[in-house]
Amino acid sequence: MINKLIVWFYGYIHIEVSGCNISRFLNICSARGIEFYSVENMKDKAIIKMQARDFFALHDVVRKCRIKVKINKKTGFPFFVHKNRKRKMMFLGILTSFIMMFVLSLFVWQISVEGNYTYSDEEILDFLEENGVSHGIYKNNINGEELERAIRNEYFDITWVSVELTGTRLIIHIKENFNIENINDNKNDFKDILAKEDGIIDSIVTRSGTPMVKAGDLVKAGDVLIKGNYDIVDDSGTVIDTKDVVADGTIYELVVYEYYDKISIGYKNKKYLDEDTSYKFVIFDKMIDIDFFGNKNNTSDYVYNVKQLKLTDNFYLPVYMYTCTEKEYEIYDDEYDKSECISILNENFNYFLENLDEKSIQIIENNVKIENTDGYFVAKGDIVVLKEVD
Amino acid sequence: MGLGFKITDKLELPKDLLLGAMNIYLTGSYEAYIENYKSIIEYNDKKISVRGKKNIVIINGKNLKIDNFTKTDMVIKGIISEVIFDK
Repeated sequence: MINKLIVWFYGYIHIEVSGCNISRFLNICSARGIEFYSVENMKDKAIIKMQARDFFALHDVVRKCRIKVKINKKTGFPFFVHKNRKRKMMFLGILTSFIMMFVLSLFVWQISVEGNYTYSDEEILDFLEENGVSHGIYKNNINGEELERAIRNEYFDITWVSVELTGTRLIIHIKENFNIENINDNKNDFKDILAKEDGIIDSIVTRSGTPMVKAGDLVKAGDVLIKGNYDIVDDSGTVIDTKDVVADGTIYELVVYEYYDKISIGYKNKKYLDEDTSYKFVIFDKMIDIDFFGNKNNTSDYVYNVKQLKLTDNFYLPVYMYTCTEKEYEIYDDEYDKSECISILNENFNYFLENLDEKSIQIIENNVKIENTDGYFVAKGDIVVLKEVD
Repeated sequence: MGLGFKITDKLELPKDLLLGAMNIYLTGSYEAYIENYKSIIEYNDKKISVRGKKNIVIINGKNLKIDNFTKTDMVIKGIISEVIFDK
């Protein structure tokens, strides 16, 4: 492929050689170092493909061999330029596009953050913008080390930052430390374990500290369950000393939650009528204007999609394509049937259970019942769960 | 086999350089790559005769065509039916 491109760049010609000394002609040419790309024999003549600049060296050889040479075809870049030499604007256009590509490649048109979990992309991009690094910045103005240091200083739990600049893309690689909260917890001065909710203690195992409750006790939120110290007693049972420790233990508590959820049978439903998509290209702009696509209709849903154009994986251009899909709808009154109502209520209930606690809980009793009253479906009742106190 | 061949064979020297032999690589019957040739004796689309330093190689076939013709090597394309060595 590259060879073909080089051949095209220098230009080549097809010549027709006729006469009776063609093999002699070939031998002399090869002796003089004239190369041919191909030689095709057709009865008393040969079609030779050769480099254009070697053509003038044939003059002597042709006379010596008494053959006739005729140029059939000229191909390649020099001939293309010669043929289009009067089309100045075309060359100007090609040149301008190359200059524009070069100028665009001097700036950053896309910033991405990788490896972040707790910090959102927007947060880090905002911080970068405060530090003068935003879309459209001149690449030489970016000081990688300084930027890395600034990010590390601002976010103490980001332990490693690497700034990578490839093409027109700035990639911020981040590694976060997840254990930092736990370390802080251990350093906390708070030593007692307290009840967070009202309930009944199901079981208690103390690893360090003094247990203040036993299984079966009723506790209220804020009660001390395990005290963060223990007494040292002598043989007669008198307290000699009290030692502070960090309370630790596993406590299970029975907690009762009340649950109430209600949905109406009648509701407003949307019926989509038709869709309309419009496109717009924006150069050097990254903000979406809501009124961008003209008048907004109150009974329509709008879906916006923004895509940044790129030449290669790392060569992003400051050109954004906005796609807006307008879905017009009509509101009408609709009713849920019984099974739909029950499934919605069940879904809500499961969602409630999932969000009850981060840790897994065990449901001991579930008294939630679904009733149909005056055009509403109501789910209400108590749930008794066994959960760990931490 | 001459003495020269035996010596270069024992010493594992490049034979094409020392004996002035032609290198011919055939790709099926479609393509022949010839190195170290001296000159072309005969050339048409059915027969190509090439002179080396010591012998002549005749390639017979159909629609024969020379590709990439330089001072030291050439590629012959077409339907090759036989390769003959002649003194």
